[in-house]
Amino acid sequence: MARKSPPAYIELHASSAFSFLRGACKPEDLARQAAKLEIPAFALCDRDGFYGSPRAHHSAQELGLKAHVGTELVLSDQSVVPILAETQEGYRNLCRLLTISKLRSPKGEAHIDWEELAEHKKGLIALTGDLEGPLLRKWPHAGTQGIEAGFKQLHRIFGSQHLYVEIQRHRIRDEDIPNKLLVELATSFDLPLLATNGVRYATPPGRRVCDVFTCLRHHTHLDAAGRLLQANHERHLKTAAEMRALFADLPKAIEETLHLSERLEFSLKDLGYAFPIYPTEPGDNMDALLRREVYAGARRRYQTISPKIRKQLDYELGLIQRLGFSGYFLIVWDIVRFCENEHIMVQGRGSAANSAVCYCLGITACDPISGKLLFERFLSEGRKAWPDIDLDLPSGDRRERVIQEIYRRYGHTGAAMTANVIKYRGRSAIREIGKVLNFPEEAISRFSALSPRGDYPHTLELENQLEQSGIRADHPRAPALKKLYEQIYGLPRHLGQHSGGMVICQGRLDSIVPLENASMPGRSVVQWDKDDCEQLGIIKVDLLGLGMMAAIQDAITLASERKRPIDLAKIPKDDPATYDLMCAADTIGVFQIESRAQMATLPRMKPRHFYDLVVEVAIIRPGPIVGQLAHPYLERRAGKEPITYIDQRLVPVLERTLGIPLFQEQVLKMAMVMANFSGSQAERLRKALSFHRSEVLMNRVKTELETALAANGIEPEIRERVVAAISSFALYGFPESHAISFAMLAYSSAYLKVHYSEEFYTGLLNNQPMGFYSAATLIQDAKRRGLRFEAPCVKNASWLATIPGEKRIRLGLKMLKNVGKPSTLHMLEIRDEQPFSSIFDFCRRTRFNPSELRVLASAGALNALAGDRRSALWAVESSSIQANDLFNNPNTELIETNTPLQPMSWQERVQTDFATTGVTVGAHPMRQIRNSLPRHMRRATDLEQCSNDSFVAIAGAVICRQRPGTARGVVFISLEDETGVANIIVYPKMFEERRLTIVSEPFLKIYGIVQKAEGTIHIKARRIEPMLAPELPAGASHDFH
Amino acid sequence: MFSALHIPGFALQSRLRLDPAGLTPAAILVEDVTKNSLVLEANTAARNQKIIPGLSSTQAIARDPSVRIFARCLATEIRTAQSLQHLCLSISPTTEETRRGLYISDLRGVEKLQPKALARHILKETESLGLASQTVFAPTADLAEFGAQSSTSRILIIDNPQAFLESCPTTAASPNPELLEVLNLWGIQTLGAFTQIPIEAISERFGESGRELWERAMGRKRRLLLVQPESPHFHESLDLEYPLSTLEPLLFIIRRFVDDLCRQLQQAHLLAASMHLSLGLEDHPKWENTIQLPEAICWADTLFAVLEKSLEDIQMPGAIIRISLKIDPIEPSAQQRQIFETSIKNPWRFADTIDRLAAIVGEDNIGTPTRLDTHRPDSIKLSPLKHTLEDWILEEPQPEPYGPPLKRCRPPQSIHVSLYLDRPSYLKTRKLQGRIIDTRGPFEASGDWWDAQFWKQTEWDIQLENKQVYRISQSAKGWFLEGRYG
Repeated sequence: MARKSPPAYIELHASSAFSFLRGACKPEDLARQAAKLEIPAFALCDRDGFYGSPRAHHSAQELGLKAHVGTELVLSDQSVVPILAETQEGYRNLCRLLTISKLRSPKGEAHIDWEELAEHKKGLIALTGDLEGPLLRKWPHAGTQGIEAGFKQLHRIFGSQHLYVEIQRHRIRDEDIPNKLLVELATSFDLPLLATNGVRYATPPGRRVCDVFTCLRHHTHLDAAGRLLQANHERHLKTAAEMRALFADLPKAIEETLHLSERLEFSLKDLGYAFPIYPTEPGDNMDALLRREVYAGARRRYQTISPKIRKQLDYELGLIQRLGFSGYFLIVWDIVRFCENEHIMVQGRGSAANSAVCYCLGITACDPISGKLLFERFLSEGRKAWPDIDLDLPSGDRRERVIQEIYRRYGHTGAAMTANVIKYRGRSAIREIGKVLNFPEEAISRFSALSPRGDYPHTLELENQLEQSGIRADHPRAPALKKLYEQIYGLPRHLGQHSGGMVICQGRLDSIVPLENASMPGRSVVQWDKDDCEQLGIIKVDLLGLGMMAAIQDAITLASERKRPIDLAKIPKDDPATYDLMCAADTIGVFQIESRAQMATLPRMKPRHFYDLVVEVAIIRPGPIVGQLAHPYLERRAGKEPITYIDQRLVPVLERTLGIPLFQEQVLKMAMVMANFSGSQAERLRKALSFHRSEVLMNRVKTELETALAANGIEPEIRERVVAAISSFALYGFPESHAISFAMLAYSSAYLKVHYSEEFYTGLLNNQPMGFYSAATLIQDAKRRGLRFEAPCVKNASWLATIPGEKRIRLGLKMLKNVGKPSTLHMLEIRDEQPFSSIFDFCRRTRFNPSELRVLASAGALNALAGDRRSALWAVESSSIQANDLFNNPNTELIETNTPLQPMSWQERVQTDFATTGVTVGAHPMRQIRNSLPRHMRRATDLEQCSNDSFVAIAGAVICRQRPGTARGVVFISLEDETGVANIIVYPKMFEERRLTIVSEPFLKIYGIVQKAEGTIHIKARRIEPMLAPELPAGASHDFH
Repeated sequence: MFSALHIPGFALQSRLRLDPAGLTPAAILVEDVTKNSLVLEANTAARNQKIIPGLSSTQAIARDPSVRIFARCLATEIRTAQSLQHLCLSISPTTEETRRGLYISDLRGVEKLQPKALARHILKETESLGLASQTVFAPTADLAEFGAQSSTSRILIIDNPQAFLESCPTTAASPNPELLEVLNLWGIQTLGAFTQIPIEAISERFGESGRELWERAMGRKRRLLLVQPESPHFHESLDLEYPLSTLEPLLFIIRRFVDDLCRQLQQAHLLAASMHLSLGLEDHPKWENTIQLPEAICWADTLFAVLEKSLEDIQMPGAIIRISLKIDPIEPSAQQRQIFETSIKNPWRFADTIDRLAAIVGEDNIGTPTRLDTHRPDSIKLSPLKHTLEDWILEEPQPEPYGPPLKRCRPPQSIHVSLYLDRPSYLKTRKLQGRIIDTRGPFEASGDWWDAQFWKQTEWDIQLENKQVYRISQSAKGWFLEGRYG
């Protein structure tokens, strides 16, 4: 075997697009290009952080390279110093230094004092930098003296042992002179000279992106940017031969890159992260404590612990102990206990529900033993990473209380939220590129208008969308626009905050990763996203906010207040009325099964048992849909297709899903049965299934599976089918346990809708916005169930909606737009002290401003004091009221009684209701114009009488527009009228023809063909028009889920 | 009697009349053409497509994909407003610009003009300006204004004020937005309904602004028009009774114009920045010349001399039938020079010299060389010569030159270069050839990659056996000798 030649050059100063608006490629691109050019290592030095370092590390690792860790620090005098982490201590120093500066600076900025750098210098190596560095940035103005001054500053801190004179050559004429001085400097101080290319992009075409980002940074466009742009495209990764040729006169500068790379002993695999230790009493330990608590919980859950239960618990506890995860389970258990003590509803989701330990600790709510759930999906012998326990909490204040409790326990440098990397997508990319290429704003706006709520590449190609925006293909800059779009799409744009992922650490988290201020006060965020954290072994606890949990918890509280308490754990799981509701697809407001696709499947599924609901939740997911598994399952269930199995050995695995694999657990079990996969192999398969970022990993496991199947003597045809079934789950297949957790919430919410409808709708209304539908639609739905609503009223309404009696809901004052919460809460306080005797008494004692008074009067909230809305409007405009001078005005009563204004008409009331609250408690707006519509215009309920394939016309308010990624461009519209909701299907061609009408008009007239099948009615749209009538209010739909 | 000239959708009409695309089927005006801008005004074609003010531009496109979207342009509005004001002033000297696009004229004293005839005249004139207008005649200024704001007919004569006010929408009286919002909430849609409410109650709620609106709505209020004096235009013109074919009478008239215009400038405390002379010719297109003055002045002698010089040696193809001279005024500079700053001693003579030089070398070949803001080597442009010394001070300090100076070949000479191991090894030109003994480079530069004018240039410094050092370059057009060092 030929001996591999020694590495000849290592790039030690490279940036990625995580140096926002500076670098022009992904860290992964750098790693791939380095591998291609046979560069064995590189250092990623992004600006003010390690944002891209985990990605560089993992990509490099996969490719057999090494990614050194560095950063470009911006100092208080704007000098930019590249710093490399030599040791773990150095890395930790850098993390702390960055955290200090980030937490005291506005978002996106960090300025470090030279003295602070000196205090944190241990374990670090500094380079003198490029044109922005402390030496060369002074060269144009201060010449040699400037360079020397900058050098002394660095040398004072880092001395000769930790400082390298960096030299870059980009084939620019003017760079030779300062470079000559740098060489002289290195010689006279006997410092090593280090060649780098100051890489900003992996390959030469990246220069274009770099120029675009430069323009964005300087708020200019390419025609005006002049010498701000790159002079050429030389700042890409170069081969050793190219670099050696470039520095032919300074070969030592190249050699030095190898020496320095060897010296950099730190890499992200030596991060030193440790999950917090759960405190125990002296003499006790975490393993013993966990065992005690699990068995105590088991006695509560099961009353008697059968040998089967004991065996499973012992197996799980043994594995947890061996893997050293006891502390983790105890900490999550502690968070759950906190929630219980604070009366905050909590439920573990995801694969944790496969664990009997989690069930016994109260973390999850479903029994995995009776459900025969696969524990290996959660934890297995081969597992190195931490198990994933996600907690669902009621969204809003209650979830924030839990987050703040974690900050309190672990300190603001011991816990932080994970980041969310916001990337350039269609509209944002075109907007930025268009600006920089100097395209007219009108064209860019038209482009955005064509996708008003996101990117929809399914049917409209980029070229067509540009053409429709007024940018023709033969426009001289159109090729550049398209090319840049391809290059920029998917690059990181800025860092946001993950909705619920929190990381905690034993000791200081700011030694592991730099922390920054989040935009929400009181929160800090790490520089890495959840996938980065997971890959680096940093454990995160997902505290996810679910609006439905908040609504359910509120409903339970209301039920208790109304003396009809309910315990969700004890509700019957086979309630016929609840399943009737589901079979009728009457599920607006019900968790998970309220979407159009779910509602279309429910009448076919006809759920009658809890497990049917579990399947229903899981089946309308991209995995089963793309894998074309949903339809066969429903056909088999209806008896229209025989139940068959890929192999008889899979009968026990697939029996309960009629031979179709629907859950991730089944896929794992299939691999275990058919391919004799071990625990660690199953773990790799699980990762490949859930970690959608790595196609490489997925393919590797597929090959492994195929080989194992072949070795197990499985025939090629069956092998193929097994692999195909498993591959379908690469796209978001649900774990069965997760589906069970969600099905429990879905069942609970459906049960509440049927039996506790007042509490259910009140809970929903008080937690808006959430779910698929607006408050207006929920109210219409509730009215169809016989509930009556009362408008917000200052005499008896509260801040939130309340239940004044049987089948009645009173809307809360919270719903009033532009009426402040402080003034409303103050009003409620003084009302409790003494009720208002008149409108003048009300105005005198409250703190509402004239504009708020107008809203209250318009919405009818003052009717109880003034008689009607117009009388109230008349009264609140009185100068006596507005001057708060009621006692001195002898005509007060006269003003109150003599109202010359006409009471509002029905139409006016509906308009004002929508303007002031976004809802109406009166009739649906469509009823107002029904008489003016042609007779052939059907209502939603009329569709039942229409024959299949008949041509109908229908009109209504658009309450929901959906364009699922799996529907190949088909759009689903829900059209609401005074009788109910009609379902419309719009095919891509029609959507493109009427795209803007569909996405922007609140009311539509739709002509199409009735499609009736298995209890569902759809209209296939043939013509779509806006419905324009002055009586109709502006609607608010929840769109494009 | 009062008349109101109203241009519905004034801002949009102002914008459309200057649109080179001509008549547009559906057009809307927005404040600026950004993502979610709202429609401010819509023309009739757009309204027919249910595009109304207040919609988002996205909704407008949804309702008519061919709708054209225009951003508001204040400059065109001002120009249009000036033209309309002149039109109204030609009818009555007592004309008020109530707001842009609405002009109310007091016709007392010019009653001999029949309203309908006058209206037709106004309509014809506004059409010639490219505007669609409405004209209203009413006994009071307020009624004329209300009529203009509320009517959709092109000519409206209000002879029964009470009946008109009864159904006139409240918006016609332009109440302040807060008052209008309350009236809408009250369900008050017409001025007639508004005046049904006792004035005391209105006064108590809305104070003076409510009372004033109420009185206006009753049609009782007589107000004075706010007349603004016509601003000087610094424009003189004359249609000649007999065509001129010699220079002397022409210069005589021009001298008179210059004297009058300089007087106007002095009264307005302004100076002339440039002059535009236009001569209408018999059977030929008019002759025009714009003269940019080297320094703003208002000396009649100098201005006349400049004009006289501009007419020297000009042969007109036809006799002159109309003379027009317009001066663009400018405010005197408020800046005081520093003690050591100075203007050129005689900018007029300097300008004259430059003009003479330009006549010899061509206008494109004279000026101050300025480096273009680009990485492209040797990219300069000739900027117009400045007439004050301080303008010549360089904007930014240039770094000290390093190494021997480069004597550039302009334009660069095409050469033949042989390469050895990717480096130049032999040079051959018409006058020069030899082996290259040393090289420095390459120096790469490229730019304008986003355009068809993409360029890329590679430069080398080379030394020949004669020890001379040269700069050569390679681009898509081949090899060039850029210059010689030393």
